Amino acid sequence: MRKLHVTQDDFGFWQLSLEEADGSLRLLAHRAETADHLVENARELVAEGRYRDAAVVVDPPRKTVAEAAPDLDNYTVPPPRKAGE
Amino acid sequence: MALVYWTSDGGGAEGGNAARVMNQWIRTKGNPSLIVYGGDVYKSGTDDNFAKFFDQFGRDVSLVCETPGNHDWLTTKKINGNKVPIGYEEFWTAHVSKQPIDAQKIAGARYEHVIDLNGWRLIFLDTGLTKDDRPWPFGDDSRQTWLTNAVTSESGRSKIVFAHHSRLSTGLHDDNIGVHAVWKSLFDTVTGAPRAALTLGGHDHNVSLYGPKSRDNVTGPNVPIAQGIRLLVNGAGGDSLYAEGDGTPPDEFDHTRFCVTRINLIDGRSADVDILSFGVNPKPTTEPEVLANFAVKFRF
Repeated sequence: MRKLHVTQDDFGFWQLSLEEADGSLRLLAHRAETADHLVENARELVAEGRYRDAAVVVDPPRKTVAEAAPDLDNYTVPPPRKAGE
Repeated sequence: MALVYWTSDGGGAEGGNAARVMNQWIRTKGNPSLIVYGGDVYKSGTDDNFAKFFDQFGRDVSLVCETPGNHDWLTTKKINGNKVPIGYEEFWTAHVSKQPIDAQKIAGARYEHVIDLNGWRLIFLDTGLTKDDRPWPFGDDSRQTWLTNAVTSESGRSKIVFAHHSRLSTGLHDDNIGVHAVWKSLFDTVTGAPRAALTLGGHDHNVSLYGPKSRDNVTGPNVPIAQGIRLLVNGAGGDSLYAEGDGTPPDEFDHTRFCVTRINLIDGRSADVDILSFGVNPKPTTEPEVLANFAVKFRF
């Protein structure tokens, strides 16, 4: 079963990753300051049939960008990530 | 010379810092003749969202117009029996701007308009409600007639079409079949010759540049510029970034930074289009970098 994972990266930004049935992962979106829009996007991808069979899995918030206080100049595109990791 | 700027998908309640920085640079250092916001005042086009948008534009939208996006259409109200995006409608009614509202028309037709600038025709459409199964012009033939007239009433092809949705795109949303009627309208009905130079959209939060595409094979290979129209997507306006998806692969692609599109209308036959990158962490002191691989020069 495919899954759409909404998770946070090490900077505190949110990202959306696709896990295929074979376990492979692909990053779909990143650098979002909140989870809301990505959750909406994930649900839309399911509802519109692009990933009709996918489950949407959302991590609980761990820290905000401000709390993580990273040096944002060092931000790079994160690798895809599964919820719960 | 006239400079037109485009940002999209970063105003309102999400992505506000990048939008604020880029718009401040445009206003203070960009010498703009026109600033186009390509749509989506997050999160749902409410009055509060537009208040934040107004702050991000330095509380001065006198040079700004907005092609509505899908998020603007999330807050609606019926006027004369037809839904309108009410936050959008009330904001642009209340402020001096370049965004007209034609109260004689219904729904999104109220916001579609033309600006003729330095020998170029700029055509602005409302594709905000577009889906593959809900195509523009949403059953309103008068909007198709209006677009056809906007394209054909001015000779030559020094025309640019601005809309939230691009016929070709890649990211979370991908190609938009729902604006195919717009694409077909930009070519001579008999010869298939292009009557515009460029379409510019957002919706997917990245920068994607396509070579010239023909009327009848838009997803196919590039064609000589004499036979096709270029497409540019820049939705990298501040609210997250989308990696490459399953849509038609662009010639150039970037999802690593926030960007502004600058269009230099040199004269009626010439224009340069550039992507200005503000990086992944825009600051008030950031000076943009021109991304050379995205540069386009039109010489007709």
